[in-house]
Amino acid sequence: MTRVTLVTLATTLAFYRQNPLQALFVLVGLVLGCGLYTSVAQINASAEASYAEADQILGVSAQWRITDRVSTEVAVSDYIRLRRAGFTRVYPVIEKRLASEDGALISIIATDLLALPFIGVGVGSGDGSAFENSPFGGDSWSRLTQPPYEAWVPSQTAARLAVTGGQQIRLREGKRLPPAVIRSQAQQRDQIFIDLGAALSIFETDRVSYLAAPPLTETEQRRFADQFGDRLMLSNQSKALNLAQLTQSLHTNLTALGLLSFVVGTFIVFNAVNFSLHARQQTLRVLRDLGAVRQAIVAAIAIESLVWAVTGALLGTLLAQPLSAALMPAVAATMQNIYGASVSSLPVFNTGLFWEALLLAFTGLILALVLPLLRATAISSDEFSARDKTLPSRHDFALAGVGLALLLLTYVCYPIASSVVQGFALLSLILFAGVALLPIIVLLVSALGRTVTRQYWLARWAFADVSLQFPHLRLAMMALLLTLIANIGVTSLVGSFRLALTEWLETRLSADFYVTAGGVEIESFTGQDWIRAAHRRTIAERSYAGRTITVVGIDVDAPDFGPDNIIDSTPDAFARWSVGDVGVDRVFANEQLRYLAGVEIGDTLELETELGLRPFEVLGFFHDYGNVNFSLHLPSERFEQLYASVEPQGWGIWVHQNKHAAAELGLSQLGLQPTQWVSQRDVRTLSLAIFDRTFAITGALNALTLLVAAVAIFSSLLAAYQFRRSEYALWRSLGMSWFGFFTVLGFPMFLITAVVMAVALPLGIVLSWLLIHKINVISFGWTMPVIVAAEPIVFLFVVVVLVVLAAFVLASTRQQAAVNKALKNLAGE
Amino acid sequence: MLKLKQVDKSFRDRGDVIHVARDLSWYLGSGESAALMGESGAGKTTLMNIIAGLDTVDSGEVLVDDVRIDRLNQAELTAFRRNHIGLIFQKFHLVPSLSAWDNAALQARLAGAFDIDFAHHLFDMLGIDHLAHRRPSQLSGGQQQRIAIARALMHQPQLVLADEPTGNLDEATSNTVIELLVSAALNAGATLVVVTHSASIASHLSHSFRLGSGSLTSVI
Ligand SMILES: Nc1ncnc2c1ncn2[C@@H]1O[C@H](COP(=O)(O)OP(=O)(O)OP(=O)(O)O)[C@@H](O)[C@H]1O
Ligand SMILES: [Mg+2]
Repeated sequence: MTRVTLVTLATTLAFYRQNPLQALFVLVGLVLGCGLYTSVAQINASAEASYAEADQILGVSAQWRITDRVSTEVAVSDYIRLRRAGFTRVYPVIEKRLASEDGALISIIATDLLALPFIGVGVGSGDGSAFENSPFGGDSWSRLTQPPYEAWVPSQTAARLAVTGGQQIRLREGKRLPPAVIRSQAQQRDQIFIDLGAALSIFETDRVSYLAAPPLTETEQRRFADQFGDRLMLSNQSKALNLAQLTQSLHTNLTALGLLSFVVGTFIVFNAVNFSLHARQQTLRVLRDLGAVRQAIVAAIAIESLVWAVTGALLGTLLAQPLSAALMPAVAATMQNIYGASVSSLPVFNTGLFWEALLLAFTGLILALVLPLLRATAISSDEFSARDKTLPSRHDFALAGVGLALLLLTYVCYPIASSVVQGFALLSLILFAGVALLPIIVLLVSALGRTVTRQYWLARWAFADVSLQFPHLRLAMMALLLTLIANIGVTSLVGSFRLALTEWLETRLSADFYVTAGGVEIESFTGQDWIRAAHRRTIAERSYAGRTITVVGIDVDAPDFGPDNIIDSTPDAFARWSVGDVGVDRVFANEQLRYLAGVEIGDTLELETELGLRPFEVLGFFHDYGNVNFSLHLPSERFEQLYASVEPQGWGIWVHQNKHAAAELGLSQLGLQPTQWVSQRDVRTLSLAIFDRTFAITGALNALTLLVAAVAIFSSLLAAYQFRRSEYALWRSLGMSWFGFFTVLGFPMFLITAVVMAVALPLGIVLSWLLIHKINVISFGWTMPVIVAAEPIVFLFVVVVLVVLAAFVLASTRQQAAVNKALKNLAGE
Repeated sequence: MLKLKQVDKSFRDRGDVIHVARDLSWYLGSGESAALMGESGAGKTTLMNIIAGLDTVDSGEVLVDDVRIDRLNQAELTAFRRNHIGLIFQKFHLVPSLSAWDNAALQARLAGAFDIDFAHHLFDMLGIDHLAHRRPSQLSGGQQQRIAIARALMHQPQLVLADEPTGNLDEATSNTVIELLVSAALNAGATLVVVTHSASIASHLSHSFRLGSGSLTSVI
C-alpha cells in the first residue's frame, strides 16, 4: 500500500467522521441485508439437516418400511412372526400426531428399545455393551419400559407445550401420556418418545404404524417377499428425498424472501455509498489535482469497501442468530403442519454461511459501488444539461421499454416454465418489470398533475417538486415497490390458501362428529332423532407412478362429496359416477394426478385390487388441498366389492341443528367411549389455528422486508435533504412558513408512495396468481382459486403510509435546525 | 427605511473574537440606495443577514420601517421577510423545478401580494418577457439573475438586499443587471442595499459605505 493511497484513504474516511449517519446507513443496509439472508439460509440449512436425519429413528436407520397390504396399521402379531422367521433387525414403530388438551400439536414416536439394532447389533443377539453405552442403558431403560413409564420430551418441545418434568401431557381425547422427562435423543426432533409397550397400552391397540428396518440385503428382500409378500409390503422409504422434494417450494420461497431482503439491503447500501461518494467528489477531485493517481483513489475506495463488507457480514451473521432462532419455531410448525415433516426448532450455524454472507456483502457493495465510482472518478462530472428535468428522460423511457419487454417475456415464458426455479425466475421477471416501469409512471403522473393543476401555483409547484425528489428517492421507492409486490403476492397466496383450506375442511370435515369405532353398525344410528345423516369412508392404499394412491370408498349421497366438488368434468359425470358401469370402474381423481402424473379426463388407470388388476376411468377432478398423495374416489358399493377385506374406518355423522348436546349424549348411550368420537367442529378450528400459526413465518418476513424498505426511504430522505439544503433554505428566506415548507416537501413523497402502491397492486396480484398456478402446481400438483382480499391489502397500505410518514417525520425533525443554519450561508453558497 | 442603532456582533473562534460590528449605527431613508463595501471577511454578509432577520445581533437595535426586527420571534421574522424584504444572492438560487415566471412570482404568491399587471410590468422592464416559460437550467447567469431580481421586487418590498449580485457575472452583464436592479428598485419605491467589491457598481448607487473593524464609514 502506497503512502498516497493511505493519505487518500484517510482523507476520504474523514467524511464518515463528519457524517456518522451515512456510515450508519452503509452499515445498516449491509447488516440487515446479510442478516436476513443468512438467517433464512440458516433456517433452510437446519431444515435440510433434519430431512437427512428423517431416515433415522433415534439414530437408527429406518430406510426400509414394512406396512400391511390392506390395513393402515400392522398387527403386533405379524411383527412377532417376522422376528421368529429371523428378521431380527426389524423393529416396530408407532408414530402419531395428535392434539393436546389445549390444542397444541404433539408428535409421538414409540418403538421397542429391545428390538432397536444399536450400531448394527440387536440387543437380543449381541453382547449388550453397545446398549449399555447407549442413552438407554442402566436405569433409564427400566423406568422407560415399566409403569408408570416415561415420556421423553425434547427441551424445545417442552418449552413449546409449557410442560415441566413429571407433568403428564393430556391429549384432546382425554388420554394422558406418561410423566414427562425433559431430555432429547439423537434425531428425536420435535417428537415425544415413549416406549412401545406404553404406547400400545395408552392407545389401547395391538397394531403399530409400521415396521422399520435398516438396509436389507437382496436375499433378505426376496425371502421376505416369499414368506410375507401376500400380507405385508416392503418399501424403500427414503424420507430424506421425499421431504426435500415436498418442501422445496417453501424453501425456495424463503430463499426468495431472503434474497429480496438482501436486494433491498443493497438498495440502502447503494444509496449511502452513492451519497457518500457524491459528497466526497470535491475532495476526490482536489486529491487528484494534488497528485493522487486514479489507482490510489480506487485502491482507497476498495480498502474502504473491504472494511465495510467484513464488518457488515460479521454483524449480519451475528444478527442472523437471534433472528433465525426467533423464526425457526414458526418454520418448524409450517413443516410439521403442512408437510408432516418433523424439523428441529433450533437453527444450525455453519461457517459456510458466514462466507456466503461475506460474498453477498461484497456483491452488494460492488453493485452499489460501480455506478457512483465511475461517476466519481470520471474527468468531467458536472455535465451541463439544459434538459427540462421535470420531464422523463430518454433513459427513463428506455427503462420503461425494458419493463414492458420483461412483462412480455413473462407472458411468453409462462407456458414454458416447468421447474420451481424457472417458476421463481418468472416471479423475478415480474418484480424487475415493476422496478423498471416505476420511474416513467412517477414522472408521467407528476407531469399530468402539473397539467391538471395548472391554475394553482402551489399545487403546480408541489407536483414539479416530485421530479426533483424522485431521483433521490428512486432506489428506496424501487425497494419499497419490490417489497410491496412480494407482500401482496404472498399475502394473497396465504389468503387463498386459508380460504381453500377452510372450504376443504368444510367439505372434508363437514360431518359434525367422526366416530372412530369402525365396528358400529348403521342400524345403531337409524331412528335417532338427532341424526341427519351417517356415512363412512373406507380407504385402501396402493401405489401409482411412484407415489402412494389412496382409493377412497364414498357413499354416493354423502354430504361431503357432491357435484359441486368436481372441478373439471362433463355435466353428467357425477350421475354416471354414482351409477357405475359393469365393464370399467369410474372414479374421480384429485388434481395431483392431473398435474403430477399427467392424467386427463377419460384416461384409464390400472390399479391392484383384491379382484386383481382393474381399470379405472377418470371422469373428473377435485381439489385436494395439501395432500401429498394421489387419491381416487370410488362409490362405496363398488369399493366394498373391490376391496372386500378393508375394515371400515369410522362414521361421519351429521347432526340436526342445535342437537350437538343431544348427539353427544346419544353417542354415549350407544355404548361409545368419549375417546371414540371426535367433534369435527373442534378439529376445524384447530386446523385453522395451526394454519395461522404456521404462516406467521411469512408474516414475519414480510414485516422485516418492509422495515428494511422503510430504512431505505429514511436514509434517502436524509440524503435528499442534505443535497437540497440550500434550496430549502431559499424557500425559508422567501418567507415560506414551516407549514407550507413541509407541505411542499412531503407531498412528492406521498405521491410517489401512492404511485408505488398503485403499481404494486396489479403486479402483486399477478405474482400471487403465478405462485398458485405455477409454483404450486409444479411443486405440489394442486391449485386453488386465487382470492385477492381487500382487507389485508388495505391494512398493508395503511401500514406503508404510516411507515413512510414515520420516515418522513423522523427525517424532517432535524430539518428546521439544519435549514436555519443553511439560511446564513445562502449568500456564500 | 433602514435603521441600525449601536449594533454589536462578534464571532468567537477558539480564543479569538472577531468583531463584525462594534457599536455600529446606520440610517438609510426610504427609496435610497447604498453600496456596502469592505474587505473580504469584514462582515458584509453577516450585516446583511442581520438586516434580513436571518442572523441575530449581540446587542443593539435593528429597525426596518419602524419595526424592531431584533425583537421578532422566528415565525414573525419569517412573515416579515415574506412581506417586506426582497433578497438577491450571488448564486441566484432559483427553484430548478419552476418556470422563470413561477420563480419570479414565488415570493409574491407566498405573501399573497401577486399582481399580474405589476408582474408583466417588471418582466417588461427587466427585458425577460420572452423567458417566462423557461426553466432555470435553460437560462444564462445574467438571465437567471434578472429573474431573481424580479422575484425580489414582485411583492413590492420596503427593503431589497443584494449580496454581491453580480459576483458570478461578467463585467458587461454586471453593469446591465445592476442598472436594471437600481432602476427597478427605485421604481418600486424600495430601499436598496448592494454588497459589492466593485467601485463601478457602487457608482450606480446613491450612497457608498465601507465596513471595516466593526464600523461603517461613508465613502463619497
Ligand atoms: N458562523 C460563524 N462562526 C465563526 N465565524 C464566522 C461565522 N460566520 C462568519 N464568520 C466570520 O465573520 C467574518 C465575517 O464574515 P462575512 O461572511 O460576513 O464576511 P464578508 O464581508 O461577507 O466577506 P466576503 O467579502 O468574503 O464575502 C469572517 O471573518 C468570518 O470568518
Ligand atoms: Mg460575503
